[in-house]
Amino acid sequence: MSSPPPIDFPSDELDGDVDMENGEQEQEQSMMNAPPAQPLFLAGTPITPASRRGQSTAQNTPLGSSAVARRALGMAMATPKRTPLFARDSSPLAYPSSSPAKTPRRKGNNSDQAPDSEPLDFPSSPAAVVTPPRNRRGDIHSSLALTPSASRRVRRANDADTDAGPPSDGTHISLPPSSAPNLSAPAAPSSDEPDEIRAIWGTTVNLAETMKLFRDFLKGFKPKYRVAHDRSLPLPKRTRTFASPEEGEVILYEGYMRRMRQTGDTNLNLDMENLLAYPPCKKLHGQLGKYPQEVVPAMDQVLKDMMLEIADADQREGREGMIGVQGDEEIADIMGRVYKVRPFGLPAVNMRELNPTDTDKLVSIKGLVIRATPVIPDMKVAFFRCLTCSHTVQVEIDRGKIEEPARCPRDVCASVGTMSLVHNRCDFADRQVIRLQETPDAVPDGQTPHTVSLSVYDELVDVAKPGDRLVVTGIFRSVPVRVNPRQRTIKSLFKTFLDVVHVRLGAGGNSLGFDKSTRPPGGDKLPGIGGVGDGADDDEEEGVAGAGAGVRKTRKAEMEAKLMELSRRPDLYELLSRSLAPSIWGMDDVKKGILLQLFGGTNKSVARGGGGGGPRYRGDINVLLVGDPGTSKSQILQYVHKIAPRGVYTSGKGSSAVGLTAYVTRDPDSKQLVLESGALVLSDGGVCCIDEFDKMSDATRSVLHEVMEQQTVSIAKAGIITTLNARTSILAAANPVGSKYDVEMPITRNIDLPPTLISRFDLLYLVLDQVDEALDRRLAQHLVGLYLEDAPATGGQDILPLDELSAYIDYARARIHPIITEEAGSELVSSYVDLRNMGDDPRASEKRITATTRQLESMIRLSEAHARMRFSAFVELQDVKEACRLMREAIRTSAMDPRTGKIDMGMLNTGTGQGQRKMRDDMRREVLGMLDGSSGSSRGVKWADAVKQLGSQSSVKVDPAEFAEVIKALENEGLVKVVGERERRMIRKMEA
Amino acid sequence: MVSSLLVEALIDPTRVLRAIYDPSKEIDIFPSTVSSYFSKVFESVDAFQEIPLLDVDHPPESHSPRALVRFRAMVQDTSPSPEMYLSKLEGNKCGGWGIANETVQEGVDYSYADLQECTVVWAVNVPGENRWSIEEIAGTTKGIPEKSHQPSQQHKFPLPDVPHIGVQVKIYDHSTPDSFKSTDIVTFVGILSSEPIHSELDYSTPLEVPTLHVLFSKPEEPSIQGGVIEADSSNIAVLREDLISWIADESLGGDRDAAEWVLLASIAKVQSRNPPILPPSLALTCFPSPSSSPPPPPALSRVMSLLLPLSVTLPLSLPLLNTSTFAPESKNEDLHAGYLQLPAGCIVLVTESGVAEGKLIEKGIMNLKALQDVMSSQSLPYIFPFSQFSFPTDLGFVILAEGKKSAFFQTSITHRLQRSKSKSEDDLYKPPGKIALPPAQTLAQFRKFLSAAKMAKVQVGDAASEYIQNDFVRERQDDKSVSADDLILRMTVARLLALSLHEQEVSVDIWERAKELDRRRKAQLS
Repeated sequence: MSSPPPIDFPSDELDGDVDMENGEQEQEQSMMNAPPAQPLFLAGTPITPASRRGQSTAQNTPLGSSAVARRALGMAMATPKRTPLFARDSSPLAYPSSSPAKTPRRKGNNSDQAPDSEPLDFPSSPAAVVTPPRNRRGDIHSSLALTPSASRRVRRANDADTDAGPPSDGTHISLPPSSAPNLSAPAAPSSDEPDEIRAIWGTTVNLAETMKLFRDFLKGFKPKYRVAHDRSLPLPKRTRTFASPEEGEVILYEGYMRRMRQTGDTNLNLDMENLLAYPPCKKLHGQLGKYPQEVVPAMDQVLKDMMLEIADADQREGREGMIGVQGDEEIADIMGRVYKVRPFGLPAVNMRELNPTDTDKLVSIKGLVIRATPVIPDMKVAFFRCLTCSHTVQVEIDRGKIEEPARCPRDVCASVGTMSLVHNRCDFADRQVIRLQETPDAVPDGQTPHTVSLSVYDELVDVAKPGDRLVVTGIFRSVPVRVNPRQRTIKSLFKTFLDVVHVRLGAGGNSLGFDKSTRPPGGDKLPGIGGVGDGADDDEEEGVAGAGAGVRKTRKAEMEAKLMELSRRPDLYELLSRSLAPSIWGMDDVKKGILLQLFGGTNKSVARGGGGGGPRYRGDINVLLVGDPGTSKSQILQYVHKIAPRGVYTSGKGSSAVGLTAYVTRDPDSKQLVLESGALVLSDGGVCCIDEFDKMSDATRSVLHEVMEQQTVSIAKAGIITTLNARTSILAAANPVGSKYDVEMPITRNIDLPPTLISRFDLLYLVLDQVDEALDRRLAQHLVGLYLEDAPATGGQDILPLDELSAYIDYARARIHPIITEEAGSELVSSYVDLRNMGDDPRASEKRITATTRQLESMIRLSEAHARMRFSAFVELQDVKEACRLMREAIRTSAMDPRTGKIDMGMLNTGTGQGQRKMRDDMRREVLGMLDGSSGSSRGVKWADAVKQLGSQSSVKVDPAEFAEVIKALENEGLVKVVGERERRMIRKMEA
Repeated sequence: MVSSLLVEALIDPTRVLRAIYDPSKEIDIFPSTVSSYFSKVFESVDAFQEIPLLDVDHPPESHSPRALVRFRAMVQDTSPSPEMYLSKLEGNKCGGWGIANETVQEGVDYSYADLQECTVVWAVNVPGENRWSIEEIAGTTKGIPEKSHQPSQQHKFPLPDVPHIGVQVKIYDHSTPDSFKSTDIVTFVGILSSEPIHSELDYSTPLEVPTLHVLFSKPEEPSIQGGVIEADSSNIAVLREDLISWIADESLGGDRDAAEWVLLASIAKVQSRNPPILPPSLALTCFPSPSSSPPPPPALSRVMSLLLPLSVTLPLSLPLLNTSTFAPESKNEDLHAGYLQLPAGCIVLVTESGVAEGKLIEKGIMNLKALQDVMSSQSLPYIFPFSQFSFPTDLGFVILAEGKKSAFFQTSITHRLQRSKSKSEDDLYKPPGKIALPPAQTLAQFRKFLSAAKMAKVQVGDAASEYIQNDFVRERQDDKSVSADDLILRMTVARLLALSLHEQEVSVDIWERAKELDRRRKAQLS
């Protein structure tokens, strides 16, 4: 066992680039332009990870004498001798005897990986297992326990016994000569130089080559490649066109790296699709997918080299912020940092499809976060000190546990049981375990959702919160279950989880994601720089699309092509509305209105015009259905809930204000107060379907006032005061007051809802049950056909299946943001004026209100939605025409004054129509007259008598409620007084 | 030969498993080999009946470890993630089926390519299954409950306080395309052992639960229980009358119409989900409350349990509504069963008499809503964190309400009970012992009759179809309040009536009879 003097061995040496470089070294390195990472490769640190103990350690130690000396050596030579001591491929031993034949590392993949990289001619010289420098990344190294190397370890250790070859002959590869072009050292070893070849054990992956490839990629990738790649797909997706040819020629990743330097960011998001798009790097894509835990650290290393290189070049060029001392500081900073490449952009698979052959590969899945643990400090390196001789030893975590040294490793001391843990010298990393559940759209019919565990580390901790939908990219792990935590025995059962390398919020896919415009302006807090790399900065969504081998048609691409084709159908509008709730007969306009609601208008914010944080105009369309019971309103709602983005279905009857909004509760795990979102907040950016809207309590309803116009929910409970976003469209259904709609009465009388709330709905439909012989016969035919046959068919109609409809809407919402054209604008104006003028009745002295600005806004939203449905980038005349038609239809049914047959929006906005107002005036006059007439009796007039008397005088029915309103108004004016209760109420005239 | 294979498989299935394991073959196909091997051995009914039963009378404790058992069960929870196991143990030995429980030293050579997946589900004995049906299907006599079994996961059985068996089931064969769904009834045959409960959360002392390593499984096939009924139309009419009389006399105070409605409700099932053609729910109103306390179950409950293979009585009360859950809910990633997580075909008798005055909290409201949802849409939402999943159900409902209508539910059919004067209120609640049983043979006939009616299919003739359409249009001309819903209900009733008469077609005659039945019902209501 090594027992080096503690001083010589800064305990953190293994940490490599993180803590390794002290000022002096940095100085030295930058002067020499040496690649920074090499100290990493020093072997013989006293850290002997538990996994690597045993015979092998003995061989390590000879090198452990003078780090400094070797460091110098390393700098002088292009290929310094050193022992690679890597945690992953843990055997630091070289295998001179190893034959060119590959030892299968994963039996399962051998066949696939063959075409991936050309067969490497393995040199007969020791092919030491070399992985790049240890860069303590939780996601890569993690607590994961058994890598395939576990099995090899034992065997090879034995080999090593017989095999005298010191491990130190491993030549260094992590310092690819090309990494420092300005260095005088000989450059680029080619693969025919046996000395330079290092492969990942059991694979054909040559790490030096991999690193070189990635370096080339970083230096050479330009957006034009991506565009060309996207176009080359069998079904090209929407590609970007460059404003100028130069735009396609930028070295994308150099730009990203400069930005990283400026912002101090250490994560580079790498869209794997770009690797495919860059012809020389196609191979790298496959390697990264299959051997992430070897390739990713190699990439990290290259990234760091490149960061330094660019910084250095910039310093010499004297770029802003990089001059002189400032530049030196920057470079020193860079050296002190750990850089991480975060790959993403694999096609997301269903978590059910993950199987043992995916173990240790890079996979991408999506789901819904249901639980996240608090941050767990994950001990990476334990620091032990001998109580007797104060000798210190560091032990790395291995398979999730720390092997406590039983005795002091120093030969002279060797006391048993004296090693004690020094907590504050240990290294910890942030870790969090997240439970990710399948989203409802991914769950096969009739199945309950599955869940997987995710381990997230460092920057990714706390990025995702329960309720978020994610697309994660990570390494799939299978770890044996221990029989007993205190035993070394394991069971033949394995548990699986994902070590996450990249997280993206808001999974797209078949169901609708949330509306991007509803997220905070700065975007969600996600670490890392760099996106898809077609040069555009709005890199959302793109990455998920078909990263398949580039030849194969991906499902998504196919779907997109289908959608595009669909959008060109002339009867698109009819088809889509027909496909919405196909089992419901008729109600065409209602379906069209709801269809447009699903597409939604665009959200507008004044922020763009200047002065951030200006008011936001909702693009969400709210629809209210009022009608007779048994007219399939609930069915429509249920249907919409199924296809709607973040659709939430709730019943006004069952839900309290709390159920709809949010409530404060104590988290069972952490015992902390947490805010749990209710239906409205959960449907932020989606559609909230509320059935039995009229049965809702007043408290709940009052919340809706805020939601429907301000689109926020304010909470003040248990000391938590906050405003949550609830940018949701509302689709509500209500029954009329007397369960049957009374056509003789205005709508406000028929539904027990405050006019203020009603007016917030863009479209209000009356769904009435009408008697009509021809209609009845058809209905009966339809029903008899359905109900009396044993296996009813849907009737051969041309309709879109639910998932396609959903995908269509999803696509439109995500991609299409129509702009109103000049022509459409003027049509909107004239339509609005027309609508308002409908109230002009030359015979009436009083003007009825037929349209208010609310209706204009609705009209705009509906036109936008219609354009969106057509996949059109512009709102055109036809959109406005249809929007107006829908509005007029809806207004005609809902705002018609049953007494006059005229449209009066005032009825919806204030609850009283013009006709009604007139009638009230008449009634008021009559009541006063009646009271004057009976002035002889000071007791006034009985309430019931008054109603009766008025009824006998009037040609129309006297509505008791109207009467009550009139009396109330008179009472307020101080003209009359009501005494007594209920039946015995008396109306008395006030004496002046 | 076959018999020796049979004996071997019965005595030591593990050894058989090891014996048929061939390490030279692809490990992927071994599970399906196992499944076909064992299903072949136990192909015949007699051989199958030889397999010891796992049920409430034969709890896991009564079997020796790693015994071969069969378990007729309802799948309760399919949410556990699949488990990975080492399919090839050291020395090319067979892994899986719990064999690998012997521990492996860390660091011993193993390859990821040897890892295989097995599906883990939680299954319970079929809730609501009546004893006669259990005996008929299992084909055995009643066992002696050796010791009372204490299920460790009581929350995973829909009916609390009912003895039950809950077993963790591990399925290795994935060659069958259909995966198991919640509330599916399946007969699993496999090796019974005890293993820690499968969950992702690592506990230092994991809970051990009975675990069945499935060798093969048989899905429940719809079949007429008790064999085919002899098709003699006059016989059937007589049998039908007898059955109605018996139900009426023994459980409904002599109301034959009520008995007929119960009969129709019992043979209804989901015919189609899109468009929704669902079984009608029935409310028997003016059903007096029991005079004694605690309220005994109505005699109807017992009568139904004697006639129907699956029936459950749900005695509503405030504490029950406010504390228990009706819809399954996933808590801490464990799916807790709800009262309504019942297998398809189950008839639920809901009694409202136990509800007293008091406060219904939010949970109670949600429970009522869940019950109403199942009644009206035959789908039950399972509650998961941040999401709800609707699962199809196929349950019949009979509600006993004291008032003129059900206090909580909207039902498709409401019938007011017309008790004959000679019967007292207590007669509706007479203890099971006082119910006059028909001769065993007649009872068996009744069961066959119901089961056959439920299985049968019915068509509508062209003439009748035309007649019905005209009828509807005419009626609507006369009375505006007649709606499409009325037509739907009446057609449903006509169809059920045809089924109950073992007719294959809805004729004009049956249509008129259905209308008459409905008319009588409505006349009593007004």
